[in-house]
Amino acid sequence: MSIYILLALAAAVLLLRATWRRPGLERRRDTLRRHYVARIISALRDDDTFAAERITAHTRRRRMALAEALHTVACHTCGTDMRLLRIIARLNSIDRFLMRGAALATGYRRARYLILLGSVPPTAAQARRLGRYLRNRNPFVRIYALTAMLAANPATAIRTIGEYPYTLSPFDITQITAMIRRGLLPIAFDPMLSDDNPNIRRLGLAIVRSFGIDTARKQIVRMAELDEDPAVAVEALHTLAALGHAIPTERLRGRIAAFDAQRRKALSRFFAAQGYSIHTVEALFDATECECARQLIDSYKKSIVCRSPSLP
Amino acid sequence: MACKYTNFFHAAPISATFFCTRYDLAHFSIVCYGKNSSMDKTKVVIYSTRDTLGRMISDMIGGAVSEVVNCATTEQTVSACLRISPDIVILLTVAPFIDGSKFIGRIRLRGSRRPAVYVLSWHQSEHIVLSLLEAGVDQYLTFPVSMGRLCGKVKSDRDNRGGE
Repeated sequence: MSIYILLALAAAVLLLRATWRRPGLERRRDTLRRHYVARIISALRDDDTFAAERITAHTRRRRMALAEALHTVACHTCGTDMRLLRIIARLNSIDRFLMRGAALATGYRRARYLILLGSVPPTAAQARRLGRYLRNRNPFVRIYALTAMLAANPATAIRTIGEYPYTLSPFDITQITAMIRRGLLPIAFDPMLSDDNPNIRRLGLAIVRSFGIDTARKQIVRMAELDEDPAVAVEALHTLAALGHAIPTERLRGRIAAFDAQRRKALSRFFAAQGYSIHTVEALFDATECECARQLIDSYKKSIVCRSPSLP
Repeated sequence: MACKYTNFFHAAPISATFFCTRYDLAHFSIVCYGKNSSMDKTKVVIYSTRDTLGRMISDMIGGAVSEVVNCATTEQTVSACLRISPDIVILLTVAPFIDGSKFIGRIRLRGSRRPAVYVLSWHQSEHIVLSLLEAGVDQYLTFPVSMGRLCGKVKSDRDNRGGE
């Protein structure tokens, strides 16, 4: 009996020790990551290949910190010299480290390795091995495996997205659009809008919305009116509203009436939030949805940034 | 209080022309950059709730300014602005504007020096950007930000102020 008590005590002591050590470990990890971020930014700022080559990480902990630092820099900057980032990653075998980590981990830990892999793209041959994660149960694993594959081989991005076996969620589309904004993927929205695959059409709409491309208005109105997939039609309406275009209310009223109540309500509120008049909303929606839009307009939520009363 | 900036993580010595001092106090830090004696006195305050991000931006613009103060709360930002009278205030969040408080008025309260306020955020919505500009923000930049563009803006602001 006493041996079990001793074992329980030993386990409790170990757990307590781990708990006490955790903040210190996290602090050291943050310090290490900041250190790498500073050195990467310094190398990028001076365009110094020699400084990039001197950034080293030989232990597992340091490799992880360096991968996180590379991810932080790659995510928050555009137009950076990817060549330097690749040099740093290659010299420290970060891509192989992350591939191995993703293979050994499960669930959200695997997703974490795959996020980092999106910023430190592996070779095209290695990226093909990520294809098995596209059918994973965890949606985060799936989308981050997809983004890593896209980053590794941008030339075949459309084909890779076309082969994705699930419907892309708004979150997934945002992740891919963020890569496009960083200049990692080509922007060719025109063929995407007329593609057979709904995922690619929705991504094309997201690109139009994100970059504010006005020239695509006619095509978007046609999609809102005629696209066989209601999700794509809703996305097209969101795009029209986000761009602030005039809405052809007669043509679209019938289509909107065919949507389910939840979509209609969300759309009406979105139109109101984008600054369309209540007359436009009334011309498109029924009384129930108009009431929702009116409530939003009357509420303080309409403008999240309030004007300061004492401006200098 | 000043200590030489030393790098504990790698053996390579820091270039002799790049001298800086650093004080760390919890989430509040001051980094003084000085490449040579003729460096001008451009001061920047950065407000970010994420320490790594704030320091990354401070490293980005480090070559163009002489002093950067990183703050983690609005109160720290206001007190730093009142104390050092910065030339530029960079906010990496729109949170200070959400409650309609007099944030811009508070950081421009004292003296005749009017710091330029930049906001860097992920928001792209037009009405948020317009509301920020109406609230007194001078520049709005979205992430991902171009390092060259940000440095260029800081440098041009510095040069314009130098000519005043």
